[in-house]
Amino acid sequence: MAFVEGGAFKCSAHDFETESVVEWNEHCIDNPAHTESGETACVRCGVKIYFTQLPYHPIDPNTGSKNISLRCEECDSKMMGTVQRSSTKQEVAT
Amino acid sequence: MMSQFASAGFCSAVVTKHKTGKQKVIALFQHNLLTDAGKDWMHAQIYTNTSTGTRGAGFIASTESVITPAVGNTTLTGEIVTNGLSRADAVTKTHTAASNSTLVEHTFTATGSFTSVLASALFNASSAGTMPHIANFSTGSGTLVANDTLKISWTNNLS
Repeated sequence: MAFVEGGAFKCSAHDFETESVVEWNEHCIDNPAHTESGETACVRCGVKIYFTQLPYHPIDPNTGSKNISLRCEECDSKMMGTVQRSSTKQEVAT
Repeated sequence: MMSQFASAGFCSAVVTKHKTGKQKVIALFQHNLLTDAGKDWMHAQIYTNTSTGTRGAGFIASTESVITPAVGNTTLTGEIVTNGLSRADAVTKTHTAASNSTLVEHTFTATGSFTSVLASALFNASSAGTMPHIANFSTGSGTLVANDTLKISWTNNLS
């Protein structure tokens, strides 16, 4: 086995590979299998949020950032009044 | 037949000046380096550990030192340990399903002054630990003062 320097983005579902961030974003947006899973902090209160099945967030080609902005359930409920939310996360429009 | 295991990708960083809101991109998809210690750590995590492994390399550190990243590096020379830019557990970590890509990202807010931040690295612990990736920024941050922010985004492609 050898370790090498890499860098290309590779999709294991569609046999797609590119070093272009723009092409990678386009591919992942066009293919809903490429969801996001991980963690971030609520943009309002800072509590840790775990997420799965989040729609693909493109990498900003100008900054390299994904800018994932989510609200926790509690903050989302406060924002929406007393309406009960079934979701554990709410994406913030950016 | 030789198989290859590649883990590299990119390091990006953006400074935002608090007073003006002006942004300066100091690294944009800079290829990072996978260190020898990082390779050993990954093999242990994936193949050879017979007990629970360590947590992931989601801690981001930075330095004002001039460095030449090398595969033999095990520490980040001159790692910043004060004024808001000390090593941090990245707030955002996300893996894109059915791909080789994971992003580790954190926004640091300076609480004091810095001359110029020049490089970054990933670690698997809040102090010491293994440093699997290291990268220079393409340019220095320039002077940072309190409340300026430095957002560092590591895109690691493992395949």
